Amino acid sequence: MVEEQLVEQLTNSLRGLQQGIEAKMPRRVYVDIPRESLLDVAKILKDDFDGYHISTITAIDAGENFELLYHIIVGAACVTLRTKVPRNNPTIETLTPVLPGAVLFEREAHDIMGIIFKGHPDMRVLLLPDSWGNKGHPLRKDWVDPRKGGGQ
Amino acid sequence: MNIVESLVYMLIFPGFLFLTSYAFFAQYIDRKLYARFQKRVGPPFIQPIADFIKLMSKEDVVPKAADKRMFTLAPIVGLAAVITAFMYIPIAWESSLLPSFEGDLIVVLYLLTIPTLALFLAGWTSGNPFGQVGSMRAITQMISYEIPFFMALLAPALIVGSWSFGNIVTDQMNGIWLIFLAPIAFIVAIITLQGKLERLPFDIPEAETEIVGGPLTEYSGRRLALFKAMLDIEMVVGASVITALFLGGPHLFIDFSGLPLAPYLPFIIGVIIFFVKVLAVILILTLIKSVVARYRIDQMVTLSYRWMVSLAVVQLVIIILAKYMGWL
Amino acid sequence: MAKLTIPIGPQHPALKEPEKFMITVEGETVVDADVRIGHMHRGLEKMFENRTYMQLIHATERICGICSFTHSTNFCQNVEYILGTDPPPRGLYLRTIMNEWERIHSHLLWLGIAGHEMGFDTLLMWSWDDREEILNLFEDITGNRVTHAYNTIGGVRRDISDAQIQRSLRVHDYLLERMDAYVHVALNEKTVLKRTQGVGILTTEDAKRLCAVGPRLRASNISYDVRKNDPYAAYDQIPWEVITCDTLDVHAQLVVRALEIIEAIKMCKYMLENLPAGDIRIKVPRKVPEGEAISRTEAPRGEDLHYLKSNGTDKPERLKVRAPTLANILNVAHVLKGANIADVPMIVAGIDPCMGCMDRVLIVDSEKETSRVWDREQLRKYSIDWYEKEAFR
Repeated sequence: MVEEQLVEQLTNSLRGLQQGIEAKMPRRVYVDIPRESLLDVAKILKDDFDGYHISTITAIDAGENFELLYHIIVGAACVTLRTKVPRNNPTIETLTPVLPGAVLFEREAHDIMGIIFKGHPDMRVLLLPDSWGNKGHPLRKDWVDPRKGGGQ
Repeated sequence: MNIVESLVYMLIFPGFLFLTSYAFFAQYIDRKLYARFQKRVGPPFIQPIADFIKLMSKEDVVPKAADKRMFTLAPIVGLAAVITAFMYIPIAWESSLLPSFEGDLIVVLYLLTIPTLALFLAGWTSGNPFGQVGSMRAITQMISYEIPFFMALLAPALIVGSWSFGNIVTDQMNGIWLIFLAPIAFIVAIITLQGKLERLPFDIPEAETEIVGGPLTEYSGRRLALFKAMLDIEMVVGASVITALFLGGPHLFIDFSGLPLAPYLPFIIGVIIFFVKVLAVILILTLIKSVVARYRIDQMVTLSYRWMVSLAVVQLVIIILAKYMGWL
Repeated sequence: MAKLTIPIGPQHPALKEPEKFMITVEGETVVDADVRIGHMHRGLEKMFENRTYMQLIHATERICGICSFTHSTNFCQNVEYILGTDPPPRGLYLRTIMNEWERIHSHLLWLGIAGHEMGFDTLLMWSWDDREEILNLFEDITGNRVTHAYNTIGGVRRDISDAQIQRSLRVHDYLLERMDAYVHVALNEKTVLKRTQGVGILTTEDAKRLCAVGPRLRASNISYDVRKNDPYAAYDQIPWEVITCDTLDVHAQLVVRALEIIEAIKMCKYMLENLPAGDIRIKVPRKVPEGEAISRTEAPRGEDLHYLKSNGTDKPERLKVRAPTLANILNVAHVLKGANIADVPMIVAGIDPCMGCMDRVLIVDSEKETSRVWDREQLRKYSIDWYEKEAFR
């Protein structure tokens, strides 16, 4: 099967960079990585596995941490790199030097979850209105609608 | 010609009133045919007039950035020019209602370029970026279609040997329609007329999906109504020029003069024949419009210079050779 | 020549939905293009966290008006993945048929839009007239023309009768015949070729680099289709081919889409003729156990990805939607640079942009709604004041 083969190959080539690889479903592989090794892993995926296509970045509010899921397509499978950034310091290196297609997805994650991508070329507001200002990041669980007394 | 007669000519027939009504009718035919070609129902008969009245009664806005005088003047001058041009076209028997003279063909052609210039000025002074891009396109397009258009209309003049509408129509009455002697020129004239009228595939200056309304973007209310009327009348006048020069004008192979008819009847029959022919030309124009996509401005220029001009030159060379050999 | 900055959008005749392109032109050539999206935010992702799974089937359907079925398919598949259930084969086949019908009607719609953008309104009218046939089929079988409410977790909600199958097959034959005419126009009509060939070229490398999806990717000569590479529903049980084209331009997209319609019609005919017997759905529990799943489908516009994380209640923890247009808008901005201004609408329309899908995420700009709640009288007064100040300055 595709995913078992892929798990085996990834275990070999991501030695030391990952914290766990599992295949939950056919063609769905999840790789846990620390946030420092994101760029290295993406580079290996791109160069050795032809994973040039990033589908999107999912940001999840998981309490103390924000989870960032990078969905990268490797052949038939969807490899999801799962990394965590702490809530009080939500910064991570930008993925754009390796995968330029991630530029809009990073802006989106910045808008809605307040993740800061270091080195991103263009961090303007993407989805929120220009006049949004500092009314917060709406997809965080503790966000309150400014109309109901939240925000600044 | 006394003053009352002149006023009737100018204001009622064939001037303003008749021409506007006929232009609305032509617009209705154009829209209805276009709709039927597209599997649509199309507008009711009264729609063009209703549109005109609606626009006339709407709020008329002059943008702050626009030059107000030019903004107002452009549609009026354009409309006046096309109506004047129509006066010289022989719509009944051999002559127009104004006396035909040697060179009225050239006068009409020059008067017909004024609407494009009016559009250009309107767009350029309206202070809107879409208008300015549209104006640049209109003027580029004018330079490219005018030359083949003039050359195509030169062919009938060459065959007949006269610069007068009257002579050209009389010649066709006595001989053969010039479309049979100069078919290439007819095709070139029809295609470039499409460019002159800014209709598909050459509606580049007002391509709505690219530059909104082109030069007319900022226009509204009365001024827009006048511009729309100008474009309709320009279509009728353009088609009339082609009818008079290539399709024999009011002539239909039958000589009514020998029949025992009231003296004004041949005149009326001639007018009817003429305008039916104009409708036929409009049918061709609508057919072209409904089966093509829009060209890009650079492609339009290439088409004009590479194909239309060459074809027109070929036609002129053929005519001159035929004249030289004595076949014509 | 002077540089002119032209706004294309948020309201512009070339764009059927709001989106803003700031285009800097020199003469007729575009030298710079900047895209601003987000005019259609409805706050859906936030809303998803407060709805039950049953409600979400219908909520996801409303992400997009055109590709509604593919979004609800994605959602239902995700829940099925987490539950570990498999819909019965007849349900999967019907789901696949609906997905393909959606592709047919969406591509016919695009064909019309493309015709309109290049000034070929006759093509618009004719192709949309034929699109009506598919919409009527949808109405016949699901009860609705656009948002079908047909999908459900564990299968589909209505069965199809033999008479309906016969009616559908007749429509498919008619459409197959009509498609011949459209393919003929796409391949032979001179003005169409002039406006599309060599326009908006996206090279294979750029398509890979900028993560293009769907027909745009296949028009850049990359044979990638989620239906083939990552099959879902019944796509691995029916014979069909991935369409690619190697001319890389807008014309390639036209060809890819036209041929994809034909392929989809053939697939539907095959499926309708070989429809397995049996149930169309299975019962599923209201609550979904803790877990996560990723579902990908090939929407008419390209790869559509949903990520679902459940927390054991009847509401999801997080539902992330990535609609195809967001992935494609990047290559549009790239291709626009250096294009002719007359080609801008063709290039933008080329990816079949669907702003409703793309901008699904957030809150509407609330400033006007909150700080200026007026009654009619105040509004009237304000407008009079404003006009006196502005118009008669």
